[in-house]
Parts: sequence; C-alpha cells; structure tokens
Amino acid sequence: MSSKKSIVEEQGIRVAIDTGGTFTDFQIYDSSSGNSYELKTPTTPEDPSLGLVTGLEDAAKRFGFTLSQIDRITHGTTIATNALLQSKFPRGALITTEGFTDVLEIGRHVRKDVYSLEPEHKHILMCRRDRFGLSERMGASGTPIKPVCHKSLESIVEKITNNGIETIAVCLINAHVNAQHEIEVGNQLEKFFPTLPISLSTDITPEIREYERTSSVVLNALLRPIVETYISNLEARLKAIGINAKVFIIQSNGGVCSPATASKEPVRLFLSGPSGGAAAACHLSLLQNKPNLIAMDIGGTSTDVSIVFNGKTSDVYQSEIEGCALKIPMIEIRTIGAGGGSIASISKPANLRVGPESAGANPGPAAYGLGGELATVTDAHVALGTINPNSFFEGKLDLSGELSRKVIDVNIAAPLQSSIENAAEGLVEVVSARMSNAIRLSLFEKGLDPLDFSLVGFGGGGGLHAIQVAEEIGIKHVLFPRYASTFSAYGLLWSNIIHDFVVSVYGPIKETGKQIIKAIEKLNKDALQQLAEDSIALKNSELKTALDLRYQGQAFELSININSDQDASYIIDQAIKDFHDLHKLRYAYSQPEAVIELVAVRLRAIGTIGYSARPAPPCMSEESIHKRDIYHEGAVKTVNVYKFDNLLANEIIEGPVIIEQPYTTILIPAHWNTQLTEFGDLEATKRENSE
Amino acid sequence: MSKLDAFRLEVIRNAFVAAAEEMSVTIWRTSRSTVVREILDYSTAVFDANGRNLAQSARIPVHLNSMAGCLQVLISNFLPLEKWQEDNLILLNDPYNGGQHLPDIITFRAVFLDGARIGIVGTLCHHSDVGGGAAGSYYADATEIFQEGLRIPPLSIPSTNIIENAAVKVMLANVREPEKLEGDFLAQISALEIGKQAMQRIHSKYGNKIYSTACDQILEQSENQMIEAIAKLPNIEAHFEDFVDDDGHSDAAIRIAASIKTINGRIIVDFTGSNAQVMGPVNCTMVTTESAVYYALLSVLGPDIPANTGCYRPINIIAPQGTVVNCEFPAPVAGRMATAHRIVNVVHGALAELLPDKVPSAYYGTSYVYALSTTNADGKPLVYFEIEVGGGGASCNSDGANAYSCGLHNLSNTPVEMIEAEHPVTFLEYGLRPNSGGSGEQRGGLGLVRTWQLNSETGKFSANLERFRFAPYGLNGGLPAAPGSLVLKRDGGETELPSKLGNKFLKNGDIISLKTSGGGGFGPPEKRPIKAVKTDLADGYVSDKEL
Repeated sequence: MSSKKSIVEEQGIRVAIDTGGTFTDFQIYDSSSGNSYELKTPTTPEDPSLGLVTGLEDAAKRFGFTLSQIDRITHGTTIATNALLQSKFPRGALITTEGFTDVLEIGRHVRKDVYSLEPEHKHILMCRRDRFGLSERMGASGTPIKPVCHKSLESIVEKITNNGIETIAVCLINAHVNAQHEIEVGNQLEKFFPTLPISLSTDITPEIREYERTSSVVLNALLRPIVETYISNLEARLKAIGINAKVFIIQSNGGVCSPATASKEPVRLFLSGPSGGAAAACHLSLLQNKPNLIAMDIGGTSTDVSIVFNGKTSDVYQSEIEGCALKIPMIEIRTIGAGGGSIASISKPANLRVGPESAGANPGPAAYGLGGELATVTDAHVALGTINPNSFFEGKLDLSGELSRKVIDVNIAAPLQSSIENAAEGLVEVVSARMSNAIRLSLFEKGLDPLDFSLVGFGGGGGLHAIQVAEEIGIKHVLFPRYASTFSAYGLLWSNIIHDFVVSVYGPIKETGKQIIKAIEKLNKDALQQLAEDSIALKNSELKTALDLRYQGQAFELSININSDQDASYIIDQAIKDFHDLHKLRYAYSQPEAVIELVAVRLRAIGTIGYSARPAPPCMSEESIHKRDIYHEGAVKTVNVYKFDNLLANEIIEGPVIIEQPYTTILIPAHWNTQLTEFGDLEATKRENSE
Repeated sequence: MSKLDAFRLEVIRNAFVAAAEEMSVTIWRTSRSTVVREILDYSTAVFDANGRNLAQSARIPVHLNSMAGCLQVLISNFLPLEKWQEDNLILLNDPYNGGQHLPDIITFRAVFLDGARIGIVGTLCHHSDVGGGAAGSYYADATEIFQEGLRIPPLSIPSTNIIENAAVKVMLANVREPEKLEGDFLAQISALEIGKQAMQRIHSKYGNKIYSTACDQILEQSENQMIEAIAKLPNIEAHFEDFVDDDGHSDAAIRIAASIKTINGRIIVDFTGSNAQVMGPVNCTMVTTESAVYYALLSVLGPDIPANTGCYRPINIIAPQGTVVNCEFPAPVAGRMATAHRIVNVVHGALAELLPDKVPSAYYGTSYVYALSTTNADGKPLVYFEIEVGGGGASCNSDGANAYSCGLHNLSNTPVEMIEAEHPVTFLEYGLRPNSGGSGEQRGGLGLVRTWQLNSETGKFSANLERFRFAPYGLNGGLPAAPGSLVLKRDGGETELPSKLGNKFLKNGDIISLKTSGGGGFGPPEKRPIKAVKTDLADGYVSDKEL
C-alpha cells in the first residue's frame, strides 16, 4: 500500500457514515466517476440507524445515484460511548473468583483532582448484588490451585435465573496465564443460558491486571445486547430501502470488522468515531507525501489529537474511558475537554477558565439563541467576526452576533475591564494554548520534535484554531482538508479490516525463544483463519508481529516490531537492540546492561479493502470574493472572504483572510499564506520573513 | 513591566502545569518498583528562579506541598541559590534537612538559559527500600533515625554518568533491591531533564520580562484567592483534637490538637497542646506538618485555586519544637504519615466548626503500610511492599466513597495478579469490608479487606498501621467508622496483631488479613432514607451478619 495508484476494483458507490452525538456525517465515493461528496444530517439519538437511513436517501437524491448502487458501507458509531456516558445498560451479572467480587468496584482508587473533597463519579457498571464469587482458583504460574466447583457454579446459576439478567461476564484470577477455568465456566453457562450473551475476559483481553481485564469484559458484556439490537435494526432498515451493500463497522484500532464481530466484541467500538479522523490523517499523509502529521479534530465539546509519524499512527493497549479501564488496542488519541461549545468563566479574583464544561448542543453557544447565557468559544468567534452568523452550517442555523457579544461582555470583558473584542480574542488564545499543550504532550511522550510535523486542522472548529496552535508550538505548515467537517467519515471510507491478536508470554526475553516461535505459530493460524472468514484474499492481507518489551520491573511496555519469518535468536537480538534505541528516544535514557522482559507477543492482521487516490478537484465557478470586518490581532481589519469551492489551484492567497466551507470556517492570519494543493486540500505556510 | 492580562497569564500558567505533568509521565512510564509504577507514590513540580513553587503535577499532596519548604531549607542551610550549578543534581532524603522520611528521595536541578538561572525542577519518589531494620524501610521498632535506613544529606553531584558516582554507589550498596532503586532513580533524573527542557522552552518563547512577571503574578493570583477565601470565614476560634493510636512502643495514645483562627486576612493554625515527640517512628518534621496543613486548608478553602507557593503565604503554622508535629533529631520518622493524616483529620475537624456544610467526616486517615520480605530462587532479597487505603468520609450531600484514595496521599493499588507473579503469596480475598462505613444520614465509605497466604518457607512481615483504636469520626450526628485490624491465621488459630509490627517471622501457610477502616458518617443515622438503607442491605454494604 505504498503506491498512490488506485487498487479499487469495484464499480459501485462506497459510503462512509460517522454517527456523532449531534450530527451524522457522510462521505460518498463513486468509484465509476471518481467523484466524492459530503453531507451532514442531524443524528437521531433514540435510534441512530433512523437518521442514518434518512441521510442516505437524502444523499442519493442530492448527488444523483440510486441506493442499490451502494456496494459498501463503512460505519463509525458512538453507540458504545453514549451508552456508557448515559449509563444506559441492561442488567448484567459478573462471575469471578471467590474473594474478588469487588475488584470491579474498587478499581485503581486513585483520584485525578488532587484537592477536591468530592469523590469523583464512578460507574460501578454491575452492582454488588449481581457480582458472584465462584469457588475455583488458578495459580500465578498457570497451575490450578482449586478446580472449578460445580456446586458453587450451580448455586450462582440459580441466583441469576429469572432475575432479569440479560448478559453475563466472566473474569477469573490469573486466567491470562491459563484460561482453562474460564473456558470451562463459559461452556457450562452456555448450557444453562443458551439465549444469553456470555463474555469471557480471556477472549477480550488475555492480559495481566485483574481490574483492567474485569472492567473490559464487563463493558463488553453490557454492550452486547445494545449493539446487537442496533446492528440488526440497521441491517433491517438498509434492506428495507433496497440497500444490499457489505457493511463494515470501524473499531477503536482504526480498522473495520464485520457486524457479527462488532456484535460479539462491542467493547472494541469505543473510539469508533475519532479513529476515523486518525485514519483520514494517515490517508492524507500518504496522498500529500507528508509522513509526519498532527491530526487535530476540534468538535463541540472536545478536541482529539493523534500523531501520524512515518505515515502511521501508534496504538495504545491500555486506556480509560469515563473512568473505566479498557485493555483493548486503540489508536493513540489524546482527548481534551475544549471545543466550540466550551464555556469560559472568570473565578474571582481574575482567574480565567475555559472548559471542560460545555454548553453542548442545547442550549449551545449563546449565539444559537436557545437560551445559552454563558460565553463559549463559538461566541468568541462570532464576536470577532470570524464566524459569519448568517452562513453558519450552510446558512441553515441563524446565529445572533448580538447575543454572543452580550455574553462575552457580561461574563468576561466586564469583570476583567477589557473590551469585548479583546476578551474574545484572549479567550480564543487560551483555548488554543490548551490544545497546544495537549499536542506537545502527545509528541513529547514519543520523543518527537514539533518542527518535523505539519498540523492538520479539521472538525467544526479546526479551521479557526489550527494556525494559532501551530504558532504556539512552532509548526510552520498547516493543512486544511477539503472535507474538513466530515473528515473522520472520509477516513472511514478508506479503512482496512484489522484484527488484533495477543498471546501473553512472560519472562526475560533471552529465555523465551521457544515460546515466541510457538506464539507466532498460533497467532498466524488464528489470523489467517479470521481473514478467511472475512473473505480477504491472501494477496490483500498483511500480518504484522510485535513484541511488548520493558526493562525488568517496569509497568509499561514498548511494542517492538519483529520479522516473524526469522529464527528466534535473530528476532530476539534485533528486538533487544530496537528496544534500547526506542527507550532512549522516548525517555532520554537506555540501560544496555539491564534485563529486558517480554510480556506479550502481538499480531495485527490487516485485510486491505481498497484505497484510491483522490482526483484533482474540478475548477469551480468564477470567484465571488466579498469583504468582512473582523477583529484580528488587536484591531479591526477588513479582510477578503473566499468560498473554499471557488479557490483556484496554485493561486497564492495572503492572510489575513477568511475561507468558508459549507460547514466550517478557516482563518488564515496575517503572516501566513495559503494555496490549494493538487488534491484539493488547503495548505497554509508561515511567510519566511515574518516572525 | 506592566501586568500581564488574564489570558496571557493563564496560557503561561498552563504551560508550567504541563511541564510538571510531562515530568510526571516520564517517571510513571519508566519506573521499576511496584510502589512507583502501580501505586504511583511520586510527585513532580516546577519552581521559579527563586525556588518558589509555580506548578505541580496531579499527584500526591503530602509530597507536593513539602517541596517548596524543602527547597527553602536547602537554600538557607546547604547551598545558596547563586551557587547552584547548571550541570549539577541536588539530592537528599534527610528528614532533618528538608525531607520527610528516608524512603522519599528528593532530587532538584537548576534550569539555566544563556548562563542565567531561570527556574528549578524537582521530583520526589518513594523508593521501595532504602535499607534499615525492616524491608520497605518502615521499621516499627526504631527509636532513632539511624535504624531506619540510609540517610542522604543534601548533596550536589554532577548529573552526567550518575550511576558511576560514588554517592550513588554507596546508596545502591545499602538497599535491599538495588536494581529497583537504580531504575526508579534514573526515572527521576530523566524527569528532571524533561522538566528542564520544558522550562527553557517557555522562557525562550516569552523572554525574560514576561516570564518573570508571569511567575510573580501566578503566585500573587493564588495568594489573593486564598486571602479572599480566608476573609469569608466566621471570626471565631475553632478547636479540634484526635489521636494517633500509639507509637508501637507503648500503648499511650498520641494527642494531636489544633486551633484555627483568622487575623487580618491570615489564618493561624496552632498545634500547641499536641503530644511531645514519641519514641516510635510516627513523628513529623516541620516540613511534613506544613505540607499536611497546606493540603487540609486548600482542600476546604480553595480546591480550585492553582496550588503554588502563593497559597501558602497567608498561612501561619505554630508547631512547638520537640512535639510529635515538629520533632527534633534524631527521632525516627518512617511512619510519619500516621500523624500527618491525623493532622489533616484535625484541621478538617476544626474547619467543620467554621464551615459545617463544606467539610466531610473523617476519611480512613492513614496510609496502611506493610512489607513482606522473602528471598527469590537465587537467594536475593525480595520485598512485597503495600500501601492501602480505606473509605472516604460522608459529607452533607453524599455518601463517602468506598475504597477511595483520600486526603493527604493519592495512591493506586497493585493488581493481585502482579503481586502473585512476583512474590510467593496467594491472595484469598481482596474486597470491600461490609459494615465498616460509619452510619449516618449519609453513610461513610467502606474500607477494604486484603487476605493472603505465604507460600515460602519463611518471610519477615512488618507493618505501620493505624486507626485500630481511634476510629475515623462522624460529623453532625453521624457515627464513626469501624476501626482497622490485622489478624494472623496459623495452624487453624487466629491471633490479633498490633498495628505497628517490626519483623514478625512468618512460616509457610500463614495467612495475613488486613482490614482497613471506613470513613465517618454524616448526619443522624435515623434520617437515612429507607430506599438507601434497602440498597445498602441488598448490595451487602451493610449486613446484619457480624463481619
């Protein structure tokens, strides 16, 4: 997949759909003409498949195709995240080793806000009466200490029966070393409860640390009934309007899976939306031949940052969502609570805060006129004139500049005795600085230098903050994708099938040669079988193997890619060398004489389902430039306002200037130039002579 | 230089916080011992050119609020600021020179740019062992600091090739697990380098004028917010007292008493009347006491005020010398958290009289520390070290949190699977302890039970526990929580063990069971809504069975 040539063979229409909390975004690619289109429709929260289908019908009408032409749908969904945010779960039961039923509730018991006396909100997920201790015990070395007691299991089964339980999770201590007891319990439960979904921790994440494993499998169990219902609704609705396309669901690792896999392992869907943005940035990196990109997706309540280095994003294997631990491979994305709806306030005396509280979609920013009385970032942009109140969201949403100015005045400018414009510009600067800190931390963790990167700004707010953020961290190139506000959906359009497999192997790496080879054999076998089930031809598949290594005693591993065709001693020597190098790069030191421990062997199976270069955009109608007054860098300036779609390739435009897209606005400040690239994206560069 | 506007100031303040966080991430990701990498017992902070604390990472309050005090002791007694050198590392653990207890190794580095000192960066890390009479260096039988481990006075050593340095070699030769100490120590050094780069970046970006104005204003802003919060307190003097169980050498309870009053916008916390320093290792040096008071006041008066040296300025602390809250050399101090947590409980108790709706009942109020010393297959010493928490205190609007890290520390737990993979023990139980939260209209949070069995021929067990006699208090009619306990089960029999224990020999098959205390209840129990009582019973948080 290194060439830019199209390997898309199909002739039909390919659709990517990213369902967010407020909007459902569509990207449509017509492979016969090479044209692509974007569309945004409101999300229908009660059943998101409804809004999705309405959007498809709308798109077909608007862009002139028939629904039966659609042959592939790639779908990103926030259904898992929303269920957790709203605690809307079915009742589930947890079966765990006797003596450990509270592990789920205890968690890791550390707090994030050091000085607050209020305990942080905790999702308990399954209440104490629904957590059951089973008499059995596996030893840390994998030797059973106590067999599964069937009487004990039967008594648990009796308590679960007819008790309103809709799903069951099983997590036994030390199952990551030997899953035998979990499998045995799983088999028994299937006999007792043939209709209930049963999730085993070792199927979800066979890794050490009982809380993280329990939390992951419990989330999986709770999501199963929800996602199963959603997917069957979706399939029925698509069929009803005559769509017979192959459907794929995007996972947190940036790859897609079949609806069947998504129903069985829904815990893999948490970053389903944001990972589309990261995938899109990877695609852009390849197209533009810019191997190092920082992708910054600014939405209404939050900003997601991911780093593309040498053309690839990196993965994390442990993360947290809403305070619940997840041990699932995910694209590394840093999220901060700052976006267009973030609320700014002054706490006395004179301490300005912006976010993480957000005005959400309702009442939203004061400018919406829905009763919002607090100053948001969007209001600041409206007050500055950078957002045009009359052309917001294709002109479908009328904004009130008067209301924006009023809330900025009352909440910020008056208490600080500053002008409204000055307060609005200051507020925007504070938010941009928070975004910059997040980016710096993301780069810093990898030992990377911002100067080697270009920034990509997208999402509803990317266009207005990206260059300010770039200035803050010293980046001189910024990209604004053609479809900035549906860019995550654009990423989904080109996502591959990805399955992650892992085998725990624990010990000093030099003593694990045989186990590594054995693990590789097992992983390859599982992966090929899975790809065959997805009907992926061998020539379109790729297997990547890695070792998770650390210095003996460390808690965190670095994943080192290996060539699994080589023999054990070659693999080990090479991995040791690469590990020391990477540790030095990331943490400023290495310890060549220290023992290196292997924790796990990982395999990622990738089925490429096609990728295409984007055609150059058609030249649009004649220019229609108009002018607008904005407050910029401390003074009112009259600037040109362009329509993105009317820009001509190769024309250099000097800032300050505003460029409007149907769903978003781009600000090119003074000292920056911008022009269209050959693929129709906008590239901004800092002028050489300016400082 | 005129004042910076609120926006610019907030941007620069956030950059300092980010610098401290970058340092924190570095330690977390590279550390070796479970106490650092799982329990997260470490902190990082950045200081201005004069050693005033500008920003802290979101870690451990007792560390964070001691680092500025420690730095002042270093500057006035050891090395005046103008003598700090660019490439040198300052390190110490000596409680009688600005430290708290020996396992906490503190490192500082001055940050220079173009030959001028622009700031200082610091880390504090709890090491799993620094030698002394018991594994984990919590030797309950100690009567003087010499028995507690290796004492490192303030040293200034080159920061390059650190492992070859004579002082570091001496350190490594005196501890039970040198590989872990070395790894954690390198993590600290690495964090200083990262912090240094961050401070230089901030300074280069804004230039010296804006940078130093920002430093002054950041502190001023916090100071003003603190003064404003103090001004809102009613003008009465509040008193409160509570007790530490004992010092491990006698049964005598140890009184901690505080009075709080405000004078002209300042708050005075006076510990006159507190116990004389004691023979066993539960004494606090002044830096520890200050740190506990700063935390206790900030948590009630201004949890949102950016924590830095400015917050401390309107606070006066009176702690007579030779008392358990300001001990004199060579008193042992390893278990100082027993007293430090109690200081927080007492200051909170006094504040509750002034602000009845703002202060929760007592949390468990101690760091439940124990250590098990065994040997691995090669005969090398192996230390299983644990710090556990209990239940949170209830407040006027919520139940206390079950098993939640509260107050002066902020610790995570070590996964049972991780412990079993590294140490010869098998856990029988790790769970909540029913009935341990104090009853009340709002119920106190539950404590924990940790029970494990030794699978090794021998082991030495030591403990520094608390709240076995004096239970965490309830407020406003709420009842106290259940106190903690420690039990040894051997050959079918059960023995209650004392809270402070030095080197108890264990044999194969022995079972140790620790129960930690819950938090106090708030409001009269008879006012608890029936629905809440029913839920407590259905989920077994409260049970009519004796547990």
